[in-house]
Amino acid sequence: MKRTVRFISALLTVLMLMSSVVIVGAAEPAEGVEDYLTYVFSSEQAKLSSMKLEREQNGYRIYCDEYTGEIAFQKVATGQTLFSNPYDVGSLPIADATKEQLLSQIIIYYQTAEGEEKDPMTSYHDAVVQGGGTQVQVEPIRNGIRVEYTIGRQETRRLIPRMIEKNRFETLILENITNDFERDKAKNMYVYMDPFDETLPEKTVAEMKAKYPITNTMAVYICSTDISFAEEDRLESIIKKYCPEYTYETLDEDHQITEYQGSADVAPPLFRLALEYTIDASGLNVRLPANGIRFDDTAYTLTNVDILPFMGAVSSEYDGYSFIPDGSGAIVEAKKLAGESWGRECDLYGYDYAYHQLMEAVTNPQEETRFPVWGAVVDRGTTTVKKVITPATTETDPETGEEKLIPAETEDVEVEDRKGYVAIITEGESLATIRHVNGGAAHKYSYTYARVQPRPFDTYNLSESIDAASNSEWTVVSPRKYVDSYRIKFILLDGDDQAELAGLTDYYETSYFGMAEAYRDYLEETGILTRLGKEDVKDKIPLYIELLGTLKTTEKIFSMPVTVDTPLTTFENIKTMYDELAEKGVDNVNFKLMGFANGGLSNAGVPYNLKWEKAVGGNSGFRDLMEYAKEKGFEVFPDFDFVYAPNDKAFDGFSYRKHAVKTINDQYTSKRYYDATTQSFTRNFEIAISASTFDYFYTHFAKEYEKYEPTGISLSTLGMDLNSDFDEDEPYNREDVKQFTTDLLEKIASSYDVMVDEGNAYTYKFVDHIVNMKFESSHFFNASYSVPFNGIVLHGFVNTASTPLNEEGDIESALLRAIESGSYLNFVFAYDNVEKLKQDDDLSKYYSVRYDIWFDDVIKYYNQINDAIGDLQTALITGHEFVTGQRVPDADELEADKKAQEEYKAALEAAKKEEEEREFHKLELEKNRAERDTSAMIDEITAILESMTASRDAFNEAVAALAALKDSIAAEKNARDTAKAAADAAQKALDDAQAALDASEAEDKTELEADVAAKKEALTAAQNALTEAQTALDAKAGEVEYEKSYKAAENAAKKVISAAEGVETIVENAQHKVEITKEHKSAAAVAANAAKVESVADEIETLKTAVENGMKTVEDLYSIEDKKEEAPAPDEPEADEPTTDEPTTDEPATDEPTTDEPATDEPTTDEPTTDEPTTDEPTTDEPTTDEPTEEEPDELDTTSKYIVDDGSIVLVTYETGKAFILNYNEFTVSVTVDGQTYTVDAYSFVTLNR
Amino acid sequence: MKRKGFISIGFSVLVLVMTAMMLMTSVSAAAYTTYTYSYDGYPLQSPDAYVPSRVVDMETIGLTNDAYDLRDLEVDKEGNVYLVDGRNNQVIVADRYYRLKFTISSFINEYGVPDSLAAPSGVCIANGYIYVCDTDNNRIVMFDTDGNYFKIIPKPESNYFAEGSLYRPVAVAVDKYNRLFVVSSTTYQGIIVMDDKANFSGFIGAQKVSLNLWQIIWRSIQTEQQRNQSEEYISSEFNNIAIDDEGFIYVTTSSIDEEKQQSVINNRDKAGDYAPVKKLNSSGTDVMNRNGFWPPSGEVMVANMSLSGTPTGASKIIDVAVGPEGTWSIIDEKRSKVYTYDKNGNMLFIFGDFGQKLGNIPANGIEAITYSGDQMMLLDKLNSSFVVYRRTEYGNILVKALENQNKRQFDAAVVDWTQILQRNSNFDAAYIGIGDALSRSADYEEAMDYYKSAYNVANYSSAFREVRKEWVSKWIWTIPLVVIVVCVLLSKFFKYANRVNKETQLKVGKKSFKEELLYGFHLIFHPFDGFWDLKHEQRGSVRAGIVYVIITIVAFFYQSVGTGYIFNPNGTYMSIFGQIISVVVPLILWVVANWCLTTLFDGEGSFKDIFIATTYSLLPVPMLVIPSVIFSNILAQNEGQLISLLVGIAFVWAGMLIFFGMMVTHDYSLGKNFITTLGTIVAMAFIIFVAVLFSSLVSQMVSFVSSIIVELSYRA
Repeated sequence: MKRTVRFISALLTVLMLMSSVVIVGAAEPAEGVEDYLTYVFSSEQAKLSSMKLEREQNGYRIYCDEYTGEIAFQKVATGQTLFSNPYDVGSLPIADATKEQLLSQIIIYYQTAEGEEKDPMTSYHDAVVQGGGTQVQVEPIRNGIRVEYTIGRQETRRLIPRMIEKNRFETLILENITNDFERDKAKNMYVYMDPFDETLPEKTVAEMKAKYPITNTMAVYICSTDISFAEEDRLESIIKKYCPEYTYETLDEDHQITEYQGSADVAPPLFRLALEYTIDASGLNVRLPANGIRFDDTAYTLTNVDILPFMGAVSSEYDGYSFIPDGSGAIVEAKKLAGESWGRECDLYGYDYAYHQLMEAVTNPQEETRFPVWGAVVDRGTTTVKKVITPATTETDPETGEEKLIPAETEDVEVEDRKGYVAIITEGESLATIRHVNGGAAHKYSYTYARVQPRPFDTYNLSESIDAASNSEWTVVSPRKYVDSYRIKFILLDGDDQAELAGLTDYYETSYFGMAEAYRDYLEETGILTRLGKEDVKDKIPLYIELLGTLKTTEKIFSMPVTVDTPLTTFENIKTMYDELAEKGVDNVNFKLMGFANGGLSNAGVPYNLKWEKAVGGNSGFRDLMEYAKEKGFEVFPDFDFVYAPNDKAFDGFSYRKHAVKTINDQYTSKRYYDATTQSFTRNFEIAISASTFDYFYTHFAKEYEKYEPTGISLSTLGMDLNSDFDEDEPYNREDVKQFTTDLLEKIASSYDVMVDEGNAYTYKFVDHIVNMKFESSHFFNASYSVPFNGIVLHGFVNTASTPLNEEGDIESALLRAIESGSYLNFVFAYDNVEKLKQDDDLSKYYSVRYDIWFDDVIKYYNQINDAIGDLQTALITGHEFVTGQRVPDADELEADKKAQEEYKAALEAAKKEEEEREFHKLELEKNRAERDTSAMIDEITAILESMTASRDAFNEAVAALAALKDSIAAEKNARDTAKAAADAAQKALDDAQAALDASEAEDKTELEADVAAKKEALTAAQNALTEAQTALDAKAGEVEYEKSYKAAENAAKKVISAAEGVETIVENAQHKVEITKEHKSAAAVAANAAKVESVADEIETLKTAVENGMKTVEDLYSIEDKKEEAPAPDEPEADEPTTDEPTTDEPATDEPTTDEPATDEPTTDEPTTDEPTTDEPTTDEPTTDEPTEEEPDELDTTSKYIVDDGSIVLVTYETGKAFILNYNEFTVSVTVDGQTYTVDAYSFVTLNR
Repeated sequence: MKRKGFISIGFSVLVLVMTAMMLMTSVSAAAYTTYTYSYDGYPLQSPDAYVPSRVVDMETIGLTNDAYDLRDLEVDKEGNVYLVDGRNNQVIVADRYYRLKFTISSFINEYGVPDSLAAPSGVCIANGYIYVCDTDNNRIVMFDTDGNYFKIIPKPESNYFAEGSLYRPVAVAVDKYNRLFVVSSTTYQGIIVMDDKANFSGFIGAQKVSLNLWQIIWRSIQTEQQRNQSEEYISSEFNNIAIDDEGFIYVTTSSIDEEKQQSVINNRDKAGDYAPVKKLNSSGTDVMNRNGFWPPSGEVMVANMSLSGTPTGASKIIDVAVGPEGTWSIIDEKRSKVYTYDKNGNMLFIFGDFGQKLGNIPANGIEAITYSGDQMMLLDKLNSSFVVYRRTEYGNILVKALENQNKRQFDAAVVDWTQILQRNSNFDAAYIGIGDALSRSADYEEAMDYYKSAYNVANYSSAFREVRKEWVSKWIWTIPLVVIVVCVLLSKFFKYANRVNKETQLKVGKKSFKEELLYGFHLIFHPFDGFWDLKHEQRGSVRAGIVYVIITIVAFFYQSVGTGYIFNPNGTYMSIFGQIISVVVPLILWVVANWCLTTLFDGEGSFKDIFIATTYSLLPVPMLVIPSVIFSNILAQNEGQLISLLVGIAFVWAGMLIFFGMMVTHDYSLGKNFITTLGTIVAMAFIIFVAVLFSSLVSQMVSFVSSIIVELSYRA
């Protein structure tokens, strides 16, 4: 036996080894190809072991499948692995084309030169399969590997005869194709031209001959001219498969015969590019050198490249989510969207107004993306891992001197299986789009990745510029392509358990918060962010106030309309405002001045010259203000727009031709706004200025500006917009523009404090204040949560403020959001003349800007936020999570709950009743059955009667015993032990008797006779037992101590009671059966029997009463009133004296081992007597047995419906341990954090220390 | 983009002034922007009155996320939500926290037969019952509020129903007397009214059939059959209904011709014809107040041409809901927007947009609206969910102000309106509200300022009249004084002019410039004699004519800028350049055309004569227009006829003068002059036609050449 097992196991091992060889062998071409689409890897580990370890460095490993180009990136310490493609593609029940996509690392989108959109090419289908392993090359480079892809078809010539003589085609090709279907397929791609066909009309033949002169001499097959690439592929593969004899030589021969002069085949699309994976201290860097993308750009237009689309894809079968940079950041849960096709595109850094077509021009725009980060987290429940207790060591055998390996001692531990990653585009991000796609119907994966556009291009409609043109689209590629690299950094997040196991203390947790931390650390390490120190902040939080300067209005003077400058806020007003605020303790104020210079709000010019408006105080007014500000210690940020020119005024240094951005068709372009009324984008004629000329304007402007010795400057649009330039002579892509912008920002930041709006990620390095920042996502239906990712990253580094509070619809939430994101308050005000704003359609958006009205609220809100986070200005945010709370129910709801509770109980009651009724029905049915065989019944009844008599006898005996007991008790009132023993025995006997009776009575008619006999025996046995017990007791009476005997007597009494009840049921049943027979059998014999039964029943009744009386007497005698209640369940309180119990229960068993049935024997050990009635008579006992089971659902669960877990309660923790629970609900909630329960009012927060 | 007024084009035909009417834009990228419309049709941003608080889908309610076809949404007084699901033939009832209470789908009817709903479309909760429009079963079924079957209300028996017509109830409203108002999608006679016993009691609210003259003539010559076929005159059917606390019924329709619906808005037509929403009393009369700037019909400024798929044309109104304090809201299926008005028809706010964000409803997804306390809910049929919107602080103030106004607690209302202005300085209704209050406390001058801010001319005018009354009573003695002074001055002037003219008559040789000018005052009163002398005795001159033209231009310009606020509330005016064109171009045209024509018809007047005669004839225009402009500053709105009268007289007078001037100048008979005058007008038209033709040809050529250049530059 054992040998066989060993042999089999050896065989299996060999097989297993062989199969693994096959996996490795799959790296060989040919048979491997199909495998990847069908081969099932059992786990990620299996996939990983099929890959080759390419590099190990800094605690990370890169694995690569050199055949498919798939890579895996592993953190050695925790074993966490990030795969470029899902490992289980082979097992998915999806289309092959989808699988090929899932197995790709690069997807290329392109057009033909004519602008026809082609199907995208995937690295798996068009490099791996196409090249049979030759088109993907893996090479080691410094710190990592380089995977080179040749995507597309390398051969330029196709083995397809374009024109072939009829017979040759049939013999050389068609006849060789054995598969009918494929033969037809191939044939259908050809047009047969036979001039000798008599059936053809003459005209056709003439046309044919004119078109193809060769048909004058022979019949030919001509390959159809509109054949597509895919069809060519198919045809060629058919020819190659079935006609190995057919070569390029034969093809040339054929073309010679038919005098085919056709042009050379159009070169099929072919793209060469490489991905470089390198390891650094923090993780994996992926680089796509844009310059290295090579293709025939005369024949094709490259539109987009998807880089590692499935890297770290989240399967919808697990809990887990993707983080996308929509606005402040949004969480999309894969499981929630399983099966739903949904996706979002996050174009980085907002719109590029140099393009004709803005993204999503039709529908309501989404929040813009200001930082190039995304990530994903998967929670796969728990997994078992081996925890090392003692590491592996080697020991030298002292005797032999041999080194012996002592294996590591491990133990299996259950840990949470969580993993995740965060990706940051570190280079080329302004030409990228971060896309999130949910596989939906196609597959189960939800994935986020970067799509890049290395060759910027735009499409415009010809009819817009040429009257005569049709409605045709025209695509033009910018002559300025992107030549640097795209770099993406992947950082792994670790589950707490895994990290603990690996002994890691410095790791990023698997959550969006971990991602934010990783990004924050990246920004700090690269010097982009510098931590604010104590000296950088004031005591109180900054307050931002945007001020409106002056505008032109039309006033009627002597009924003549005159245009005048109306000041909304003057420099003097600003001083007053500051004084008023400072008086109330708000002294850290930053004023942003909008429309104070160069034409004011309604007639603004380009900042080239600088002229402060007379109406607000003029040049001297500003100088005064600056002095005042320095003296008082507040800051002033005059706002200048270097990105757009709203007006072209004379001598303002601006010329459209020289400085404006041009579109692809050489037009000027302007900023576009989404208009709520028409639900479309409209222009405002703010002409975009080319970034290359920013410096020209600023250099001139700065000379004038510095005269006033200002401390700060606001560059609102410079912080948020990037417009490329398609100018033919001087084109710039967005990366160039980003460079120009950062250069300018750097220059300005060296002299002034800089404030910008919204703040793209590249501005972080230079700015001190970001206002109008969005701390919310777009709140898409399909996104689960909105997270203040940017707030978490920036708090403690850059001062941020949200959009003006006074124009906010929902102020309460906005205040909470400030605490959540660590941002400060911002207001937009005008001091005077606000009603004039209504006259200007542009400025009517400032509908609630009266400073005097808002003053009290400013103080109130400011203090509220300052009290909360005033002491946390330099503290980082160290935790952010959504917590679950409970809504505090309304009074009427509690009422309703109470009612529901009662109703529920009533319902239970009703159900119980129903159950009883059901049981009753069952009985009824049984009764009916009993009716059907009445004849048998009679016999049975007789038998029962007999047994009844027997039981009566038993009862008599019992009663006698009881009487004896009573007597003895009465006699030995002082010596209770004897009496108790007697009673015990008597009761025991009674029990047995009753059990027998029970059994007999409940049995089905067929078994009745046998049972009755058995029961008779049982009864006699019981009798014997009774007497014996009595005698034994009598004998023992003197011996047992008083206390013990008292207990025994007590037990006995209880047992007597239950026995009595058993008897009662027997009686009832007997009566019941009598009833049945009485009702349904009118025959005399039955009647006689019935009478007999009745009499027996009566007798039993009397017996019962006798027993009961006896019992009562016993009870009276021992006055055990307090134990009465426990009588129905007499066994439970037995624990006190088991020793005394045993002798009494043992006695019948030992005395009557042969006569007693084993069934009765068994229960005697623990549940001697009461067991029987409950098991035998379930119907009658129900009320008592039901109770304990019903106790559990007796209370209706009314609390679960008050649970709030929709992300509306947030717990945010700061570095100092100060934390806030924020309640975004319009009701009060109670939340438990760290074991403490807090009640948080609607739109309010509580502070706690952790 | 500055506000550019509408420039009235006047007579200028050759110069086509293209007014770039720019659209107001919003910066916010939030789910939607709330806005209202100004008096002159510009959208003005407003604080959000409602903000989205959550989306409730079927899963939230406690049902599976299967397929649903939600058609109606109602909320009862306890806040229970009723959703009608036409696909699964059920009514879903949830409590105020959106947890499922029960569903109604099948029931045992009074005959003890199991019965069920078939494609229900509407629900109404009233007087303790749920009324369900069981559309495919052609009946209404009543349930009690626990969902127990109560009774069936079958199709009402009446011979008013067209033969074989279908009864498909889609919406129902019930008043407190248990009268039923049923909208049946295939019944176009109006709303079916049933009494509390469910007996048919009539149709109400049938759309008025308004035919224009041409249609009436056309129909009179049609045969009976043709008339029956011309369905476009048949009244339109309603699509939804709501009832307010006072028993007024709001009904909506989307079957009105879009262009007509929009033209009603553009013309600020207060009549209810072509209104997509009406407020009917129980006898079916439209009692809606349309006192806002624009009649309540949804969107005011609509695009006529679609840019990349944006909605065009008039709103498609598909449901109405009655909110607090007499406010009511309608929804526009085309734009996924909600328009809310007060009971006077003032627009309060508009919000909503397409999209996938919280608070958005996808295009064509909006299906029903309802109010629940301080919440509003919109049904999104495409996502099988509804969005709950919460009223903001601003919304609360608004409601409070309306409440005080409705309760006629005007002092309290003023406080609220002031608060609203603090939150939204763009809100015109608040200015009016304060103005009204000030008027009531007889503070008319300040009221005028507020009315002026809101462009409310009617109220401004009445306040102005009060101010004027006060002024008059104070300065009553000055009026006769001024009249006397003016009369004396005028008579002195005319006497002087008369004397000069008489003296000049005798003077031989060249007349002085003063004499030439003053001759006009003789001419306009004695045209036949005057024109004869004008021509034959050289009493006038070209230079004086030019002065008259300049005076006319100045008069028109003064009219344009100096007209009182009441008669030109928008302050629109034409520039001096425009005025010159509008006077000089027709004048030159007339002179040229007349000269061309009369030389052919042996007219005796030379070009110069014609010019002088025509320009002298213009004198009555400035003479009367200037006083009319002065009057416009002291007249109230309903006294405006005086101004029209003056201006009318001026034009008729000038016209007559030109006519007789030509007659005398050319020495024509009356009949001949009449013919040449007509001919001149035709000739003017012809010249214009040729000029337009020429200019369009030139512009075509220019654009053709530029296209070629552009195309060459692209293709190169």
